[in-house]
Formats: sequence, structure tokens, C-alpha cells
Amino acid sequence: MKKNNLIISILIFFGIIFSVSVFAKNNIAEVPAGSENTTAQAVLMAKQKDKAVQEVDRRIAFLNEAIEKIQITKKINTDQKNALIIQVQNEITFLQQLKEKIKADTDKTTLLEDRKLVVQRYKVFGLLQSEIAIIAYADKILNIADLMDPQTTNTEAKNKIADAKSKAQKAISDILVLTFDGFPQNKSVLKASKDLLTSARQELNEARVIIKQGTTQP
Amino acid sequence: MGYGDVNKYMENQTSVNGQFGSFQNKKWPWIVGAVAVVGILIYFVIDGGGSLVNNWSSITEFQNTNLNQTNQTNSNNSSTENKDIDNLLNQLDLEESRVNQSLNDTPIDIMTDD
Repeated sequence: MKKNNLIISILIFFGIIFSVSVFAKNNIAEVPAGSENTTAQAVLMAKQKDKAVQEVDRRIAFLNEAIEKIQITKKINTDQKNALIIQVQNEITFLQQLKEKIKADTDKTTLLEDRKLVVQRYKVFGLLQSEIAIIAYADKILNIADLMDPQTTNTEAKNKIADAKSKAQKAISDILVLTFDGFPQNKSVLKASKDLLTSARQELNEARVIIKQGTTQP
Repeated sequence: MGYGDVNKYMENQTSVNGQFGSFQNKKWPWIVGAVAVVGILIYFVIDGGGSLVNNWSSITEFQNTNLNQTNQTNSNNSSTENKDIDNLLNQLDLEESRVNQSLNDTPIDIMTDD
């Protein structure tokens, strides 16, 4: 009797194991073929969108701050200021529209094209970013030169201040003629303008030393 | 004009001088002057040096204070201006680093996920 019970228990056990395995197999078979690929593609697209949006947001944030910087600039004329602001605002609008399009993309190919557009469009941002940084730097140098000039009658100091001014003005005029299509080849002009400003700054520091020596002498 | 007329004219002139009198012959201006001088002296004695002197000192003091304040203000302004220029020159460090940053900027690599 006991032996029979043991055999029945073993049969029931194996029966349950078999049923569970058949049920599980059936469930797996119900998942359509290619679904794994679709899920993986969706995850990849989400990742690609995130990166693209992150880059676009980075550019928009800089350009928004840039408008304020341009507005407080004193040493470029109103026409130059307005032209720069319009360029920046146009780029912000373009990037905002592109961002919304990327977020709404459902097709892999369309998303790829939009991502390529983000990369290609870097030339506009790259140039604007450097132009605005150089103009802000030159503007400060020119303002400081204007403050220092009336403080001295020393010829050497005055010459250094005048040199600094002309270098800063040249840096501004050199970069304002650059075009987006010329980027990044025109980076050499941007670097040359930056070197001019470094030199102008050095002249102001030297003039400052001369002025201080003049005021401390009895 | 006859000799009698000349006499009458001279009498009239004498009476005019007599009516208004010459300044040297009158005593009242001297009395008024003396009273004024005595009055001023009494004023100075009573006032112990006089508020006039005090006022003058005050005016001088005010002028000196004002002058000192002006000099001080000018000196402060000049000192502030110098500090401002030094600060502005130091701020150029930041501007230069911003330019370097912009020249070395690299976009986020958004194509490597493919």
C-alpha cells in the first residue's frame, strides 16, 4: 500500500512539473517574433533622443545668456548689436523647433536625419559662442581703457592704453565679418583675435603699473 | 544887474548856507557817529568777543570742514576708482577663460549610439 502511494506521489510530482513546463513554453511562444528587436530599438531611440535633446538644451542655455551679454555691451554699435541678437534669436528658435521634432520622432530614419542636423548645425553655435565671448572680453578691455586714460598724463602709459584700445577694436571688427559656413576653418581668426585681446590686456596691466608708480612718487 | 542886485544875491546865498549849513559847522553828525561807535563798543564788551566773531569762526570752521569733506570725498572717490579698476582688470581672467572655453568647446557626441 505504502509502495503504491509513493508511486502515485512521484507520478503527481512529475505531472505537475510537466504541466508547468508546457504552460511556460506556450507563453513564450505567444510573444511575437521580432518583439525583442523592437524593444531594443525603442530603448536605443530613447537614448539617442536624450543625447540629442541634451546637446540642443546646452546650446539654447548658452544662447539665452548670450543675448543679455550682447545687450550690455557698450563698444559695438547698435546695428552690430541688433544683427548679433537677431542671429542668436533665430538660432534659439531653430533649436527649439528641432528639439520638439526630435522628441516627437517615432521613425528611426527621421530621428537619424534630425540628429545629423544637430551635428551639422554646430557651426552656427560654434561661431556665435566664440564671437560673443570675444566681444564681451574686448568690450571690458575698452571700458577699462576709457577709465584709465584720464587718470594719467604719462606718455608711456597713454600709449599703452591707446594700443590696448586699438587691439580690442581690431579683434571685434575681425570677428564680426566671419560667416557660419566658414566655421570651423575660421577658428584661426577667432584665435588670432583672442591673442590680440591677451596682448591688449597685458598693455593695460603695464599701463596700470606705470600709473601707480607715478602716483606713489613724491 | 546893478550893484544893489549883487548885494541881494549875496544875501540870498548867505541865507541858503544858513538854512542847510555846511557839514563842518553842524554837530549832529558827530553825535550820531559817537553814539554808534559807543554802541558798537558796548555790544562787543557785553557779547564777550561778540557773536560776530563767533559767527565768523563758525563760517571759517564750516568752510574748512566742507573743504576737508570735499578733499576726503575726492580722495575716497579716487581710491574707489582705483580699486574698481584693479577689480575690473582682475575680472579679465574670467573673460579670457570664457574665450578659451568657447574656442575649445566640443559638442556632445550624439552619433556613437548607432
